[in-house]
Amino acid sequence: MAKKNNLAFKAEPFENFLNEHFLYRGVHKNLWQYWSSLDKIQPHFFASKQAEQGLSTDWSKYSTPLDILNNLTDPILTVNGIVELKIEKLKASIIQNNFPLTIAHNPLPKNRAHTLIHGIHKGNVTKIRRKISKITEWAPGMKPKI
Amino acid sequence: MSKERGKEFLETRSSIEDWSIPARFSDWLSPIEDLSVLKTAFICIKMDKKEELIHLFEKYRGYILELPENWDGYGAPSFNNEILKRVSNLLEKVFQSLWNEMIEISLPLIQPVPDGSVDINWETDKFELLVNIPSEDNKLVNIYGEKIGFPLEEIENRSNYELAILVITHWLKRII
Repeated sequence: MAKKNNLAFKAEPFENFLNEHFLYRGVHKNLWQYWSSLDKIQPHFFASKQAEQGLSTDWSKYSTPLDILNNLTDPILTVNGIVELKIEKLKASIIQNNFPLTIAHNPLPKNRAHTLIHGIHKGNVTKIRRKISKITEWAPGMKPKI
Repeated sequence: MSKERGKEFLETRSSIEDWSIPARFSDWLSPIEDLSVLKTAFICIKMDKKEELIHLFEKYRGYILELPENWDGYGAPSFNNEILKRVSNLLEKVFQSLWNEMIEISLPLIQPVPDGSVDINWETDKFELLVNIPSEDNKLVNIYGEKIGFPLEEIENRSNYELAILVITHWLKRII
């Protein structure tokens, strides 16, 4: 009989994502090095090979932008920046654009903040990326340094 | 006819009267010459723009092809030349079609996407258009565009590659 892992974190329900909370994601230099300006987040940051199974982010309830940066392979702002997506804005965008997006807490043994955004698929991904990029900002103090 | 003369011609034609139809037959001589100058200027401008487009594409091509596996830190795959050929071909066809009708738009950003596709991204004061070229040629091209301030002119489309070129060109011609 398998031993129960008492260290596993319990996934929290959607209601626990409060309007004032944020979702964070690291953005590597390979994405932003050719942007015409770092003041505007470009849509290609919001994608991954696994996005259809859920796009990985980290929840501000259990993490800070600095934690995210420190967990990246190159934890320096000349290589990585951290963006934040305010839950209030995300919920508003979902309603306004009728996006089939859901936010699901998906804690990992070593990362309680891990959260997935579900509902991205080939048919809607371009519009979602455009709209989400417009409501995303660099987390305070986490804008890359060129 | 020089390019400079062509530019001068365009700059000096500001009022409607400058373009009006001549009343007498003899007055046609000047417009015919003017049209010839205009044509030359147009061809020169088109060649300049094409060079700009090639230069832009080469810059992005080098950058995208050099990206290693896991280039975003979240497992993004590297790129091959095939997808960039499709990007280049699409841009050339769209721009050629616009230039043929003397429609000018700014050059887009060409951006690698962590799922292995490539974005062609226009963000201008008049419109925004995001075209996503998939990693495999049998997959559909995703298009999303908005004319700023005109919500009814929104476009959201998935088409095969050849049809996507027509859809993009048609939409751009309509909204500009």
